[in-house]
Amino acid sequence: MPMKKNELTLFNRLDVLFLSIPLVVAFISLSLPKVADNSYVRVYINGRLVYEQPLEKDSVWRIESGGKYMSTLVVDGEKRRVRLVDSDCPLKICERTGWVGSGGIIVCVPNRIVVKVEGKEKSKEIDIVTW
Amino acid sequence: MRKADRKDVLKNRIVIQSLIFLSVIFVFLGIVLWRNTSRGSTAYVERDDFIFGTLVRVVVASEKQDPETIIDAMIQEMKRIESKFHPYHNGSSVIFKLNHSSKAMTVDEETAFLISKSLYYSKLTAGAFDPALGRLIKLWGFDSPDTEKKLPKPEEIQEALKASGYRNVKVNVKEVLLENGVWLDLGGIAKGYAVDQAVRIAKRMDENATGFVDAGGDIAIIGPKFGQYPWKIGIRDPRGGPQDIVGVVYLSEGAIATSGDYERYFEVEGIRYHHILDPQTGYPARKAISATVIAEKLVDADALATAAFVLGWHKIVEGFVGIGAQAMIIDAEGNTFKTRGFSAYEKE
Repeated sequence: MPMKKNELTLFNRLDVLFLSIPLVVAFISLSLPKVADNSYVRVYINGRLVYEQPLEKDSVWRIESGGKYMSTLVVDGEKRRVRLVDSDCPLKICERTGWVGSGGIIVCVPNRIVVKVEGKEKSKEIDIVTW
Repeated sequence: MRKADRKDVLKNRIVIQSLIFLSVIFVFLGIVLWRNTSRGSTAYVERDDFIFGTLVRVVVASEKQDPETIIDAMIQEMKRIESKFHPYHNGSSVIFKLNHSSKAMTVDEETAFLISKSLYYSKLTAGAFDPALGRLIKLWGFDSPDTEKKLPKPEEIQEALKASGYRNVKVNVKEVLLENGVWLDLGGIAKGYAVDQAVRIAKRMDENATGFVDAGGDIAIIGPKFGQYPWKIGIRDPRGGPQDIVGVVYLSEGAIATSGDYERYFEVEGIRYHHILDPQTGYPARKAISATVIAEKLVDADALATAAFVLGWHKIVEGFVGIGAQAMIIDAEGNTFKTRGFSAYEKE
């Protein structure tokens, strides 16, 4: 039997729309990945934090300890990446590491330097790298 | 519709719609709460240290103990083992004393165990893993990160080869004799052993502790992520950047080690000379550019990854499955080979 226009039912179209809103909002907010932001470049020597700056700021910083020059940190803010250049260590592994971005790490074992790009990473990224 | 009926329907409609609306809100809040408690409430404590000539990262969570206390004990243990088995530093090193003794020496149980274990892997891999290459390693300058690296003359390599090789190492229970002037260098196995011991300490302090130890890319799992998820581990692309990977494996337990030619090397006239030497030739091994091994313990994965790197894709490597290990090799041409069973770790 066709429904009369003014007949009351449990749900009409507006009710369904109204109830859908929280469902859609919940689905979108749960499925969105965590976006990388507020990354910081931190330089540690022998485990001690000696320098930090936001990743988005261009800079060049000489890494020295006890008056001895060891390496130079280059931060490319636009591309959100960092690297070490002109290191005084024998194998230059730290230089060859090249550019690293958020979640990356550069290690200079002879000089005991660790450069970390720390910040909120995308939730789907890997936890550890075997190399 | 009668007025009373209409009123009842309207009342029911408001009640039912309110219940549905509240249910949706509660389910949403419940999911958010569950995600936060299951993933975020476990506080991981992380610490870096330089051990075994590399950066060691220890990541631990524990509800029973202060993670810092656990990490203290783990790092202390790894440093003890590094110092005890360092081949080129005097002091408390048993291996240094052995290398500079012309007579048989009685060693402690742990030293006898580790030397015997390394000889087991030498025999298993037809000498591809060799703990008695100390003189060759020193000749190339790969004995320390600070040493100057140099391309030795062919006659120097031949001379060092004469004083190398696991067949010159004799172990009788706790008595060790090094013949023909060979030097032991347990670098290919001692790091894995040290990390395993550190993990054992963590589990002894809290059997439900979780986390991992990453010793320069060689990784042992303490327990699953947040107590329930596998750790997502990338395998580095040997010809890519430090954050480029060629594959992903998932581990809730066990260990994974990779040997590659892309970290510790120097170049002379455009030729790359890396630190993993072929015991047959005395020169850097050339059959692979990356070898990854998954095993129950890092001591095994560490030794087998070195052997697999030297062997390339070989029937011996395929046979690792028989001792509970899986391998992935990238050869010099860039071809990838995997043992049957490796793919099981590639699924979450």
